[in-house]
Amino acid sequence: MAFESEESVVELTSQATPANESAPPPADQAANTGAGRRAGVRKRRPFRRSRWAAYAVLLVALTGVGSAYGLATSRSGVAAVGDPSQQVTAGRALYLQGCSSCHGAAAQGGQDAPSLVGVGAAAVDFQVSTGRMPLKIQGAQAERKPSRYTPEQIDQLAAYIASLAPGPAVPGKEQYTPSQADIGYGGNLFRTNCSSCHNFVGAGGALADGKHAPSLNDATDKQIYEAMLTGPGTMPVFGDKQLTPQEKQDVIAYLNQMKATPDPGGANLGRSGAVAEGLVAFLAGMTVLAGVAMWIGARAKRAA
Amino acid sequence: MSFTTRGARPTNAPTASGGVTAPRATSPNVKKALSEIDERFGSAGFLKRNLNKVFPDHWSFMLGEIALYSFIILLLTGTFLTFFFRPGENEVIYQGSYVPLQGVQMTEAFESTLRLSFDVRGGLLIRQIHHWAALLFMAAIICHMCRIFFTGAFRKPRETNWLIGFTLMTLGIFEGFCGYSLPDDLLSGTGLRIAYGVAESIPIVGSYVAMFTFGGQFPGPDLIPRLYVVHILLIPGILLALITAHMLIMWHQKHTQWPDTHRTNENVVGAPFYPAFMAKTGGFFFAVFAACAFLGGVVQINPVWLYGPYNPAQVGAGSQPDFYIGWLEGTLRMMPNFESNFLGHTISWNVFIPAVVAPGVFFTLIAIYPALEAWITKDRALHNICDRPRNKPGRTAFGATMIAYFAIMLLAGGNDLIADHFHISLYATTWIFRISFVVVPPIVFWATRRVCLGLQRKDLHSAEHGYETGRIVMLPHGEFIEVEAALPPQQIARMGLEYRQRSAPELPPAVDEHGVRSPASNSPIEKVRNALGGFIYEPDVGIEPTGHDEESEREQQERAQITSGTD
Amino acid sequence: MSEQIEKHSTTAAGAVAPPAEEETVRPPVIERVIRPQDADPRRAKRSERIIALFFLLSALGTIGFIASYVAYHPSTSTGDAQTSNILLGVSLGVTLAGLGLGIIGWVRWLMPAHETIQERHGLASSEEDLDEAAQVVMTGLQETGLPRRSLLKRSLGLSLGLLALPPLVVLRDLGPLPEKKLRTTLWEKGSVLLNAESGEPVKLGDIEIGGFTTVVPKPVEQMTPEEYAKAPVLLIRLEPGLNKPFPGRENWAYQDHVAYSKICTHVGCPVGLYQKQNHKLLCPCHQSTFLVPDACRVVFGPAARRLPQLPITVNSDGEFVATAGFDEPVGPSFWERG
Repeated sequence: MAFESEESVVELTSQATPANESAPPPADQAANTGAGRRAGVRKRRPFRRSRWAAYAVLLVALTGVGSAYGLATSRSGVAAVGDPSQQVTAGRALYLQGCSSCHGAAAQGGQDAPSLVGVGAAAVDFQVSTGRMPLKIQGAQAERKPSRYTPEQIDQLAAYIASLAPGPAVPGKEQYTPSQADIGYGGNLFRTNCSSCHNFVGAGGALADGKHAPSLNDATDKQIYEAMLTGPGTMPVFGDKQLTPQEKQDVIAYLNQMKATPDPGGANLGRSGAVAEGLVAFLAGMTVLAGVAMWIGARAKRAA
Repeated sequence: MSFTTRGARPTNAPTASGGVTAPRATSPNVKKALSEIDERFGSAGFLKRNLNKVFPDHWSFMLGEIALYSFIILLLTGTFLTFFFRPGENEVIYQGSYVPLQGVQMTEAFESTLRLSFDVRGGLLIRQIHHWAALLFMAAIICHMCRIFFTGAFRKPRETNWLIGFTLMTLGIFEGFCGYSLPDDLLSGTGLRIAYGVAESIPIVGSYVAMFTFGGQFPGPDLIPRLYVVHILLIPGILLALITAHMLIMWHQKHTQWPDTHRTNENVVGAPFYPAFMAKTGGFFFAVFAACAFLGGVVQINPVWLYGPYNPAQVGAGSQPDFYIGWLEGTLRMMPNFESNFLGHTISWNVFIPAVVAPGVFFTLIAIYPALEAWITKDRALHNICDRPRNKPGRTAFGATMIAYFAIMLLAGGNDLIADHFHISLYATTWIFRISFVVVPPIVFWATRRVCLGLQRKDLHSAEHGYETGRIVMLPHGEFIEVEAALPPQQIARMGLEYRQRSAPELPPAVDEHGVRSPASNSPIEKVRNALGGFIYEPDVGIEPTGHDEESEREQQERAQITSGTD
Repeated sequence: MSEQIEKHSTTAAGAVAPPAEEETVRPPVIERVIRPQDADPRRAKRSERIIALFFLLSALGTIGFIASYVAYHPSTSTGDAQTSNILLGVSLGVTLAGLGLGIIGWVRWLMPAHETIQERHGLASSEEDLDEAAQVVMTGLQETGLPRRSLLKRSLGLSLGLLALPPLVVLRDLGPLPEKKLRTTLWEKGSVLLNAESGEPVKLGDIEIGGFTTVVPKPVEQMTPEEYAKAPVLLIRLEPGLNKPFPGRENWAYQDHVAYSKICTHVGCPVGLYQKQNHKLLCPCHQSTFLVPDACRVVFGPAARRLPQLPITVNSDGEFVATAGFDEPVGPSFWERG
């Protein structure tokens, strides 16, 4: 759109017919801007639309729409690619909905549940991803069950709890995935620190006060790492300065190897030891052989 | 059975009377062969007698054979294992083919066990057959011992065999313990540590016994080699000698038999040793071996690679020994923590009682029971007929009580597994077993005795009145009766009614007619004898009145007429 | 015995007198058993075929065993070890079961099943034999002269009695005398607490609150097995302020870290089970339970004594060290313990 120069506008207005002072200015835009004012109204600075105004509006509009789109679709990943405060907020909302009834509105704990301040994101990730939390029923301990939350939701919960106070962070994949692991050394570590609760190969065992150390067969590498790091329930804490990340990887590698290794001797009877073997000897061995003996000594069939 | 003769081919077809025709003339070759042996050993009479020896036929008599054949299997497989196992305590680094233990330090004993399992073809199979056969050996001994006990086959003339058998059982327990401790794995090493602690708990000499047996403080530099020698030489040698004696005595005295028609205390009824019994027992040997082979191939046992090498700082949850030691594990878990300290000395009752005193009492009772029963009942007669357990309620109840004790001890040994599997509190299981140990066996004693007496009554009733046929008949005078038919004589003979325990013998009066005190009446030993007799003797179980005693003779005749025509 | 033929005519299916010659060398038959195989030769042939089938199966099993032995080697992989074991075991089982069941079938179906009888002939010998035996024994005894010669008897008794001693004496060196051995461990003042697995010293701050680790006074490879068996110690970090020291042991802990022997005082298993929430140490062998904040007092189970405590502090390098050895013997009790 071309705009005439100021002179031409002024000229136009000076040539205008003398009209009534009170007469409304003509609809014509050029006459409006110029004649009305010149005709007795105090002189005002005219509104100027820059030739670049359109481009400016376009730029602002594009930027605005783009930012809004980006904000609306950003993912709340572990590395907090998205806006961290969004994670925490979402996590807090989830927390208030599903956890605060036992753990308190500010995660300070309650009669039935411990404080979560300072437990760290790793503890949350472990408890919620194994389904132990939310607790199904108050009992001796929380049991593994299918998780009620999606991985994104678990991350949000973890972010919220981590925001309350510093604690162990969720381990990265390179931390918990065994690489160059010494399986034999891992087995040694496992037998010194873990097998007295969890059994020689992690099949689980009884503890006092109605608790039990669960089987490790369903646990993922990440969950095993987190459990060692955070010490869920009555399990002791094996910090990274006590059991280094490499040593934790060794333990995980050992457990994975034991899970993957077939039992060369045949049916493994739950890898639980001599009790099952004794039962099989009596119930299978002796009964079968007594049965054979009964056949040998049975009364001969008489001819009809 | 016919022998092939040169030239003539005798018929093998069975005759109408059953069995093959015995050859009229013996084969000249067989006689020649026998004569060669006979000229050197005088064996013909021996062969003739012993090949003809009659053995009674009942499956319960074959339980001891399971033990015997398991022992042979143990010898065979064990010999193979000795070709590979190295009983060394020096440390080596494992470089074999089992991945999870590569690079791990372990004793030579453990390493050679792994090598045998993973690098020798058939090695794992033979190891597993060996261990399964060991479990079957002990299980069969226990079942066989129970059979001997409940049928009274330990009575004269077989008391010696009972003692030999008892020794075989205790040696077997020790042999098994030494055997599974040889690989020096974490599970059996924990058991050895416990054994050292048990030895230490013996008052006065405990630390000496521990140090001398193990060769020093735990584990002891000579532990595995000593266990090895005991396991492959000392105890098998004694076992072999005692088993031979056991069999020879049984052979000479002839086997016991169940009461039945034709069977008396003075004869044996059954099949001759050659060929029938020999074939039966030979076939059974292969069956026992087959069972061990199937188990060894298909069910894993003692997977020492899962336990790892022994390390005194390590232990696994759910550590139990083999079942024949497991009952001692149970006593150790049940015992409350009593300990006495005085004058600078400690007696660990919490270890000494469950691990030394309790098995001592248990085994002593087992060993002396025949003598005890003979002393109480003053029974000096020879007994070749088996008792039916129900006919000797006192003895049967005593045996059931001992089994109840054993079962509770055994289950207590696995209390942590029970707690884990059935979701019971761990401490609760300990308390449940503690209380059961005290409360349950006396109940078992009483209940077993009542059951035996009830079964006796049932037998007597059946013998006297026959069995109910289900036919209802109306007598002429209007009464309805169910027709009872007499049992076949064989079934009555099998009840062994004449072998029931009678009432206590009449005691002589405390003071005889001249006012002289009888020496027996005041002696405390006699008082004990009479008191114990109260458990053994029973008042004669009477036959329940049928309600027909008031019948007139005519009614009885009518009844007899009607009932006699039925089967 | 075979000369006395007692004919018992009770049979199941009617009495049939057996031919006399059959019985002269074999034990007499009291009940003839006529099985289908005895009555019908075709039936017997069928039974023979079944038995032959069992034996054939056994032969196949042997071939299978040898084939499995050749085909699979356990060192290739654990999977191959499993296959090898199962195939060898099952084929061996088939071999033996075929043989065993075949032989048993052979006895039951084809060999005579008649009930035979044999007299026991009383074990006791005749009165004359007994008398004569007693006389032989007595006469022989007289011939030795022992009843008359008490000097001989007594000196022989002395010699024989003493003869029992050398076998016992040579057992003396089976093991060392206990002396003070059971009382001491390698732990002493200045022993650094080394991680049992890595051998690295444990520093203040390595253990988290609620954590525990196993430590030893020297690297494992520098200890004999006997020294190592008594050496493991648990270093536990309790929550602040929780520890209630045993009277006189106020300075045995260091900033909520306490150290106790890992060897159970019951029968010596390592007490590896630490329950963080109730601060109890549970021994997995027999369930002895020790309450850590209360100087490892026994709260359940068959152990009678607390776990011995090791006094610890931290040195200038931040490493945990013992300020003294144990003040009592470690492990199970024994008579001379005190």
